[in-house]
Amino acid sequence: MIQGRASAADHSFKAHPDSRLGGVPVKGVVFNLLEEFITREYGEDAYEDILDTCALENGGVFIGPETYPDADFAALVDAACGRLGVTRADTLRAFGRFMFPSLLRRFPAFAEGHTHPRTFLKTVGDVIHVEVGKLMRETEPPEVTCVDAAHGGLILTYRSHRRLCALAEGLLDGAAAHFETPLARRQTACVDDGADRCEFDISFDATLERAS
Amino acid sequence: MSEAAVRRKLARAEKRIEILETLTEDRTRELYLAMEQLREAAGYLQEIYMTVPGALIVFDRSGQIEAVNDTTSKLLEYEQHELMGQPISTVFEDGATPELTDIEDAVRRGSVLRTEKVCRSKTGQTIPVLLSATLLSDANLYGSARAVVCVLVDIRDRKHLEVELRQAQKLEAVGRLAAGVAHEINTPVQFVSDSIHFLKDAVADFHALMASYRAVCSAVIEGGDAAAPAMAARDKEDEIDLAYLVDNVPKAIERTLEGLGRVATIVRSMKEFAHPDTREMSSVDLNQAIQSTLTIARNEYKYVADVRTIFGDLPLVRCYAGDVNQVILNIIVNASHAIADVVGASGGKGVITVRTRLEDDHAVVDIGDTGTGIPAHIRDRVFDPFFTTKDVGKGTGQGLALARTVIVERHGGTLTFESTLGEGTVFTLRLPVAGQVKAAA
Repeated sequence: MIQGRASAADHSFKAHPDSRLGGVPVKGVVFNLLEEFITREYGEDAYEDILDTCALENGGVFIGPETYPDADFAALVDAACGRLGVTRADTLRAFGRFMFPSLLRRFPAFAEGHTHPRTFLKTVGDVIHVEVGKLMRETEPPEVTCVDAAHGGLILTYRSHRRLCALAEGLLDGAAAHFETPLARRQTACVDDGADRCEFDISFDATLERAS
Repeated sequence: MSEAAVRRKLARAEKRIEILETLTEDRTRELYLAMEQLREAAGYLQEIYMTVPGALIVFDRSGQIEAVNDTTSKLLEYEQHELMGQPISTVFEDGATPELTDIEDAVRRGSVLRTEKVCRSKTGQTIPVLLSATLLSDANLYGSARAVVCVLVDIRDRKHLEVELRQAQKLEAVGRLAAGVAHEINTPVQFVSDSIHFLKDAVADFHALMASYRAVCSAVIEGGDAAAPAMAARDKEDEIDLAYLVDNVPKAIERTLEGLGRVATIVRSMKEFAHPDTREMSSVDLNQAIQSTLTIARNEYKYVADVRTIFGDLPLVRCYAGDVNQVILNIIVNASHAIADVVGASGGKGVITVRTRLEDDHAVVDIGDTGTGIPAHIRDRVFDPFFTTKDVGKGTGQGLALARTVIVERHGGTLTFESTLGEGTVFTLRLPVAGQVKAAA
């Protein structure tokens, strides 16, 4: 049931233009999860190779609560794509799917009270990112809004200068898997196509939804 | 995994541990400092809370007192623990407890509820207070109000000063009017005096004439010649001009009575105007009160304006009579000054129209003048204390400010005006006939 964009153009990950000046910070936990993901999917040697390719200033030592430039994240993803021979979009989508349950294990309170991705997704922008902003002041979570669609699903809008809409797709898939509620997503706008935002039209399986 | 890779991974893990140790130390130190700062801030706030010179009370949505400070204890003569958990109505006079809906309305308007209330201390003492109340929001509940926080400021001294200010205003008015009143009394006294002198002379003449008549009577009784005394009596009549006296003595008496009546009216009006301040409202004939005020203020307006009164039927109105008289006087004096600015030294006169009527349960008094009118740019300020457009020494800027306080705050009425530049101004007072239910003492 999970569908990607009809024209599955590769999404190039772009670090923030200010990355070389220190960049916009990414939490260390994201790097840790990326390491976990690559190690689990492709093995420890693959991750060591990728790290070697990147030659990061900190030698690849990432501490969860600390913050690091998004350029480092971009470099790791790009190196992973080169080493593993997969597109960036596929890598980010797969990482998003992996990331969702991992994040929920660390922050289970955000999913409490939700039994369906619909209600959960509506709290991403208004509650979860607000709370993340309170706890981690130096982060800049993406701007996510969710409104009801006429067809009964949701329209999710994603805005971030990191242009990680493929990661958002993976997270959506992760949410569907977590709540065991299939969803169909169709990307109707993307900054890479010149739009001012990325937008997803999300439908839930009506039959299963009624049953739940 | 190659040995080199394992070594690199181990090195990273060791580095990570090292960083985490440093991080833990740093965070522990930061946490300690933050806790110290928090403790210091909490102590500082607690000290402010306990010593702020206003009685702070926090009560929950059900009206149960959650917290009070030292000032509350001192003001209301309770120990703090005696108030904890008690209903908030404990500290207010019956019917004076602030309503949660009023506080919510104020907060919704982006404001704070500010109102005068009356508290009752543990020993039964009534204490007028200025209450400011707002909602205490709990941020974790996304803005929903958990409790009400209110500050009570003891305004007994202010109330006392207000009474003194009103009394001072009255004395100032009496002083200002004294010369006019003296003049008003002097005129009838003058013609009463003239009439009395005339009557004194007339009585002396009548005594002389009576002597002539007695001589005629004696001559007739004794059987003597009565013609000569009769002629003398007639001559006396001519001498004293008896016909004139007969015609004018009753008129002199009438004039005397009229003059005395005028003096009596002025004295009664002064007495009514200087109605002693009472803490309770009394039932007042508002038309009579206005007439009295017009009488004693006559010298203020009589050279520049005629007064037209159109009194409607009014029931007795519950009010603080002295204060209402003062308000009417202030407005009439203002009206005469506004008209004087128009007529100047031309000798012409304007008109002050005083009209009363009953509208629903309110007595309404319109006081209109044909003066200059109030320019639009100062209309918002005429009720401000110390605002005046009059020359130095002619107005203190307190008249209308006090008038609004008296009518709006003490009586629960309204005081408004309509003005047209170059045509004049009409001030309208509305007083609840039954008096203000919640009038502050």
